[in-house]
Amino acid sequence: MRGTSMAILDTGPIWELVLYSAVKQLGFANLEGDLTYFVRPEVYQNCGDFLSTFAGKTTSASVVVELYGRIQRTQPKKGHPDLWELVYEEFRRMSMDEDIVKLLDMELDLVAKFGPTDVSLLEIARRNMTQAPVILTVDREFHARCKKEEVSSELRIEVCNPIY
Amino acid sequence: MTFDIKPGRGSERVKAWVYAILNPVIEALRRETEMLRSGNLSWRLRSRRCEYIRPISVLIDWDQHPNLEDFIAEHPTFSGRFSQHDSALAGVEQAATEYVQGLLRARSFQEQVGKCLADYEARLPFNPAYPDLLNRRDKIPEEIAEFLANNSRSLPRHYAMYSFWKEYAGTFQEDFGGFTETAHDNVKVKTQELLGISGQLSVDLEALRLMLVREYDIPAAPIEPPRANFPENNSSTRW
Repeated sequence: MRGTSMAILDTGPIWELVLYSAVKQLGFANLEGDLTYFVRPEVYQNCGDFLSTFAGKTTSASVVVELYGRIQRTQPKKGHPDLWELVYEEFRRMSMDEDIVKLLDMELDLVAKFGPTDVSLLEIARRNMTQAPVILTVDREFHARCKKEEVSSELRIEVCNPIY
Repeated sequence: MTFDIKPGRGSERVKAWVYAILNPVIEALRRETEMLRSGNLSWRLRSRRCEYIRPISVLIDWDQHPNLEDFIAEHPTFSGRFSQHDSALAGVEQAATEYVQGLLRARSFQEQVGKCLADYEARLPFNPAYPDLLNRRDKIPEEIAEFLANNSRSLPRHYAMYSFWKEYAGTFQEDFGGFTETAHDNVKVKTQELLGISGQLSVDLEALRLMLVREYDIPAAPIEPPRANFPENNSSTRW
């Protein structure tokens, strides 16, 4: 809803949105096998409904680097500009913001435990506590580890999987 | 085919035509015709081109261009047909550019955008799910013009313009789908022209591929050798 809530997107949901556009809207059939969650239009729509309830959407520069890694793993290389075009388009159309979190601003033990990308998302959430941040991830391990480590309750950050 | 020395069964040269030229072009033309049928040109104001409909030579890997030249040398009629496709595509891009430029210049369009935005903003207090478009207000005329050029009837729910477009798409499509009718009709005519060319080209290339795989007894796509146990190879996604 318009107001204060903020969605912080991990790599997985963004990649699925990009793949869905590529496969279902532009007909890149060869990428269909890579769609892990949005195999049915209802799942895509549900995720869209869920995302639309947030006033702001943001991500971390580290997530963009991970998207680069995912695109690099696709073949042929001449298709990479098309995938980047889709990433840009998703960011533009969703009004996605992007934050940079420096390594030295992240706690070493958290980086060692979760890796810099996940910790950067937690740090962005911490910086935006007034906007009721919710981290959206499809990474079950990250989700489970956050719960286990009580990251969400400790920081009052909600971590959820938009797919389920 | 016009060559004197006929390639043998299983010819690597013919495989190169099929795998490096025909397959990517056929796949792209199939995608292209589907998009054109729905009126989605994937035209973008930023680049003033159709982002996902490309000239034929762009569909082929740069390092495979010698095989393209070899294919054209033996199938010269396709040189003209590829050029015909590319000029038709340039015609669509030009027509879409003129249509959108005309739209953005038109006072009636600007007034309609202003009216819809004012109405949308007046509804905000009563529709908490509507996002505030204040930070993208300047870009909205361009976005609407792109939606119209690409025949976007609805948008994904998570896009910032979803609610606006759901509310006013009909108004714009009625009033401006036919705006400067000549310009809009020109887009439709050029799109149909490209659709006809692409559809026939796709059919003819598919027929040629079938003929080549039969005549030279080659598979229509490369059969991958057993994978070496390199994890980095396994993570590669082919598209």
